[in-house]
Amino acid sequence: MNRNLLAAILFLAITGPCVNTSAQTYTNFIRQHHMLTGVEWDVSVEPNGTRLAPFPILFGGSRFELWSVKDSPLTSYLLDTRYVSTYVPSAEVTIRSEDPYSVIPRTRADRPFWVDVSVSGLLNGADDPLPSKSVTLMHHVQSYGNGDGIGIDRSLATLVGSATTITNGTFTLSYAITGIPGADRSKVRGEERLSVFSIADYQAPASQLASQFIQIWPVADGSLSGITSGELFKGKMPNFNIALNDLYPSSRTFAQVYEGNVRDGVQGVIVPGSALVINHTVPQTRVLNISNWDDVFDADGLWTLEVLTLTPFGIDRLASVSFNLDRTIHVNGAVSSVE
Amino acid sequence: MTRLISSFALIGFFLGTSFSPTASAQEKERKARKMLRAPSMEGMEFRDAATSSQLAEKLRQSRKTNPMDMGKLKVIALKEDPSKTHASKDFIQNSEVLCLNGSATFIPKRSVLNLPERFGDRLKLKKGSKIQTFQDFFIANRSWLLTYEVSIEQAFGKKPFDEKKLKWLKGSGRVVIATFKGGPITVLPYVEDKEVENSENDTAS
Repeated sequence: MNRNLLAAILFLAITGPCVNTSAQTYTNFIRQHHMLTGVEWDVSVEPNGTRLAPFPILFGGSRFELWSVKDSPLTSYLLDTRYVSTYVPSAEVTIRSEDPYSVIPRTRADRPFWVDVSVSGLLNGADDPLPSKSVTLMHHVQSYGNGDGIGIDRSLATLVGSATTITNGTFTLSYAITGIPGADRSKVRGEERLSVFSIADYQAPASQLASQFIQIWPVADGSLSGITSGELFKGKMPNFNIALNDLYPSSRTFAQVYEGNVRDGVQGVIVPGSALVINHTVPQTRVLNISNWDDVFDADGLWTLEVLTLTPFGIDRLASVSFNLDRTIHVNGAVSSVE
Repeated sequence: MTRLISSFALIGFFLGTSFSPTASAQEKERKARKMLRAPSMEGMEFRDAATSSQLAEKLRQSRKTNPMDMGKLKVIALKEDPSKTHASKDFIQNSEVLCLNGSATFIPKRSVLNLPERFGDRLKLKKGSKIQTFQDFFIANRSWLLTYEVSIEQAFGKKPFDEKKLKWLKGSGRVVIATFKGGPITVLPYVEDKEVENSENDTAS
């Protein structure tokens, strides 16, 4: 293959998932690393866009690394890396979930995700070199522990699966639920990474052709304190607290009341001061103090107070309590005559 | 006294009946307007938040089938994980730095062709410096920086530098960075016995 032609058709997609376009504290670089000699060549890049690689792909191929460097504290982030060579196939990995968030694929610890892998350029001739005939797919998982994954060392990820293919085309892998390690399965947080690697030969070691990761965030939980189930209220409603943990980065959360016992899908009245809209990159934790909420009741009887969170995955009830309300004044007296 | 008794009799009429603070229909309406209804849940999946034990069971079930075990893929066990054995080196650790007046940039190692002694400290990063692209940093520091366009052969150590040019660069008294099409590039030491192929003209800017 004409090496210069290959260089000419190589476009670098430099829209990394973590490239910060708003703050000016990140500077992006693409570094081309020649695999055989170690010669490295840098090109500075804008936060997004494409450009032609001016440095040719020479014998042995090159690894392209997209880096973003933060000023303070000085940190470099490897956003993406791809190996390009004369006869090595190319690949794309796309991960989908029920969350339409476009910056980084993400989902929740109880939800499924799907991986689309596309491979092209695989050869099958008897004389074709080994790395042109197959690629390796690898699946890594990595827990964030109690953190948000910022600055994690991805070399510590655990390889949980691998497979090889000799077929060009696109195929989809379905994962019903995350496999990130963790004792409390509802509270795992981390990432799952699917990567396509080339086969090693005398020119270059097995190198990454494409990779994508999905962030997995924990299931939210909540609790109500200050009101007990079955309690009877005859006067002003007491103040109460709502403790909310791990609210999904894209969610609306509120407490609502309705008459009767706890039931699914009831559209009640929102308790004033309890509504939260979260539009963030990581889960959020909040504690709400609720007072002066008597006006939400318009009758005596059995009522339910529940905390709901709306996410791209549906509605989850985080906590509920049912209690009795009897705020009617009963006047007891007797009529008598003094005559 | 009789009138007083009659008043009590009126009160007696309400005996056993109720008095509610929200009894007025108008008051009810006023409150209803103030109250915010929860958003419609029609068509949305409603559930109690999943518990750890439920998810552990779901994971156990999901592991009965391997998503990679499909027609176009053959599941294999790798002897080593290439993402670890051949991981990229850290960009900052694997770079030279150019730094002055609160600004800094990174260039590949071995791309500095000439370093006058008096500028030695400009290859050390000062804390709190703002990181710039090489192009932006170069424009702001032309007084002491010079780029020298090299050919691919020179970068790979297959072709020597022109002695006169080298002498001129050293005499410039400036820090000289090797570039290829404007981007800083590693220059390997020239090894004489290597075959010299096509060369490109040297140009300094």
